[in-house]
Amino acid sequence: MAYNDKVLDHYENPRNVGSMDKNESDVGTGMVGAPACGDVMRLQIKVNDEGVIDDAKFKTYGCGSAIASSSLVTEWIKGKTVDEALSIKNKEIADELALPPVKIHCSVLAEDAIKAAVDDYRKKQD
Amino acid sequence: MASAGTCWSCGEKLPAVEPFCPECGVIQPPHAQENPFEIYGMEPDFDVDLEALEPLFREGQQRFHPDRFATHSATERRYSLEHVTRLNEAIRTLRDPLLRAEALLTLSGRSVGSESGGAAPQDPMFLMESMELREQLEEVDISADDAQDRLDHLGRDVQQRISAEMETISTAWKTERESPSDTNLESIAGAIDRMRYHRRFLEEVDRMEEALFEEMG
Repeated sequence: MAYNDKVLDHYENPRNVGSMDKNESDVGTGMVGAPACGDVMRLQIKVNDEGVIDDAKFKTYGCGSAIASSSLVTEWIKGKTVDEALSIKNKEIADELALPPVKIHCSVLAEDAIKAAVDDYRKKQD
Repeated sequence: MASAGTCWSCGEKLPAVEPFCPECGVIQPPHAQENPFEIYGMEPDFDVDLEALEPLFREGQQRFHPDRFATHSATERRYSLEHVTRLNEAIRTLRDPLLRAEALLTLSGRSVGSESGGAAPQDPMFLMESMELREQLEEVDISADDAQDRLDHLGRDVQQRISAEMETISTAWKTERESPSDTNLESIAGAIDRMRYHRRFLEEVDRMEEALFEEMG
């Protein structure tokens, strides 16, 4: 399949690849996967005292669209509050990357990863 | 089109499962509603004796081979092809544990869990382990001397995980037959999902082994 330029750019130069210590209290880790294709995605956020996401890291094993979707959201959520990050919808990701219909699930995965990371972070604050 | 239960060619009443009319000997269309297990004359089960299946497969292929119907009518040729196709599709399902497990879920007639895929909520611990395995695989340097050993080791590890999932499916189906419950089907659906990740991993191992082979070549 021919990938769109933005997908290729993120695929070839993924932003914010890496990991943070998942045991730190200010780090939230989201693990999501797509059983149908066996893709796995990890998204981590580091949240400061004001509830703003200072840093985000991801690691994705999957197709170009899944990598691009997660790379893109790490860029988007940095500097946003946790609530703002939660408001990101998969459609915005899919539109930005011009994902074809068969790859929409990759953007859903990225949206779910944000939710999972925020959930994990919030559980630690309780 | 003949009504079900009668020979389409001579109108004779047919026994329930009869691929050839006992009266005129003409080939009959396959029973569309039969599941892959029934097609090979077995009870739906996850544990399948694949060796016992092969002679049945070859026998069926010979019996319905389109070459044997080359001089027959267009309808008979089409039915022979339908039989052969159906036998091929059924054995493909029976040979593959993943497809076999999916067939059992379909047969149960109840839909459960996330076997259809998508981004359903899943066990984060399992995903974490999958991620760690993928990381270990990624770290294998195919130009290093121990590359083949490390790939073998990881491949065996994941193969064992697949075997464990197959064990889960087998047990869950046995329980399901004794006392049907969604819990059994959910265990099967969960095991199918996990097997998909493991298969994806093994594909990646294969891909790296090919790269390794090229490297050595």
